[in-house]
Amino acid sequence: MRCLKAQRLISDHIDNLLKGRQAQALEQHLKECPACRELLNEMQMIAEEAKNLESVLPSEDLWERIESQIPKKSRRSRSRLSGIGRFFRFSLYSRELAFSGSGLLAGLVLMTLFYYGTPSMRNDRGITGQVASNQFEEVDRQYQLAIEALNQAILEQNVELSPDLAAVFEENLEIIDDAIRSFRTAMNEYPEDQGANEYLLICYRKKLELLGEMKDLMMRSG
Amino acid sequence: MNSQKEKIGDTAFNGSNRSESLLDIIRRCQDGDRKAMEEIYSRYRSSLFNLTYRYTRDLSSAEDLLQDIFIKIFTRITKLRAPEAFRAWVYRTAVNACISSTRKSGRGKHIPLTENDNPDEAEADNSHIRLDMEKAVSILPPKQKAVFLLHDVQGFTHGEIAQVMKWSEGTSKYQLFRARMKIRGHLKDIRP
Repeated sequence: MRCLKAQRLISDHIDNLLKGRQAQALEQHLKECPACRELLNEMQMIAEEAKNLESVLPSEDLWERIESQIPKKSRRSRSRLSGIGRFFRFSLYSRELAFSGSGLLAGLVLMTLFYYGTPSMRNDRGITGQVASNQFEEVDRQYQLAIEALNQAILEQNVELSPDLAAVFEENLEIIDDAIRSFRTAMNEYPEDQGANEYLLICYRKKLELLGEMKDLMMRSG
Repeated sequence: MNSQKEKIGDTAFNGSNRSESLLDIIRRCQDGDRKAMEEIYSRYRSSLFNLTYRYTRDLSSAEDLLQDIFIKIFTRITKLRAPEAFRAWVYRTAVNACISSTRKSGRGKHIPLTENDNPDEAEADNSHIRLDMEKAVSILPPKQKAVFLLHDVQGFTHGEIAQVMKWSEGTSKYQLFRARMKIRGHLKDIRP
């Protein structure tokens, strides 16, 4: 094992997150490498010192100040559609990051409205062409791995986008993540209806596209 | 403003009995119940204040930021669709506000930390150790600071941080590694 790899594993090691071969390989490396042993000791010390950072409390009257500024009761509205609605609405007016193909987008809106129409509408609709549930888990896993890999690649770019552009990306990603959560909720509420699976995969694809654009921009900036 | 030398804890999520009633409290907040809002405030004020303090490095600014965060939380709570994800949502709101405040105040702006006015002799060493760590934390980039504070100071797991930051657990681990390496480098510079 090289020191670079060992350094990353040491951080997980002090949190007891390493198992099996990785743990064994690291322990072997530590026996042979004084520099990494020193890093292990220092990281343990950092984690220990962090626990002892002083805790501070706000003023006693802060709640009164906060309460006086909370708006009077607003009407409660918790729509299952709101996250998905934001996803599409924001995508339409975010010019820099608009998803390619307005026809596809319009189709997605219609499909979503159709899906979230009524239970009877959902029951009437067949599942032809949808990803079978036993395949879905694997596809879902692969998408999540791809997203994680792309996230990692972005982090490793070590380039910072302008705050405004970064904020636009963050807001778009938040909207897509909201939509992903909404479709997951729908999947849990209606497990017999696999329609949400497909829309979830569409969201994953959009997230991958967005992260890909982000990475390209960073590469061009760097 | 009070200062306590106790471990920073998140009382809202330690202990199952309190967690069981949290959903009811959230629902009452969504219906505009001020008592329920005060209960949420008292559960989260300590852990969130310790976050805002480490971004602003000034108690008064940290209070202003905490105030903005709670107003945002109670204004938007009616739109929260999944009360079971309340914790992640609260911390995401707080971390985003902290990061935004860093952007507004300017990257790299250095505000010196103040030492305790009259530390006991017996505590002098510990005080210096803490101050070194505070300084090291202050130099972290905003997102790495969030991961470090949530994990190493407040005891979040990587799964919980992933929910807050909308990252994968792997990204959370990597960011924590980077944060610890930066702190290590800084401590090496200031501790002979």
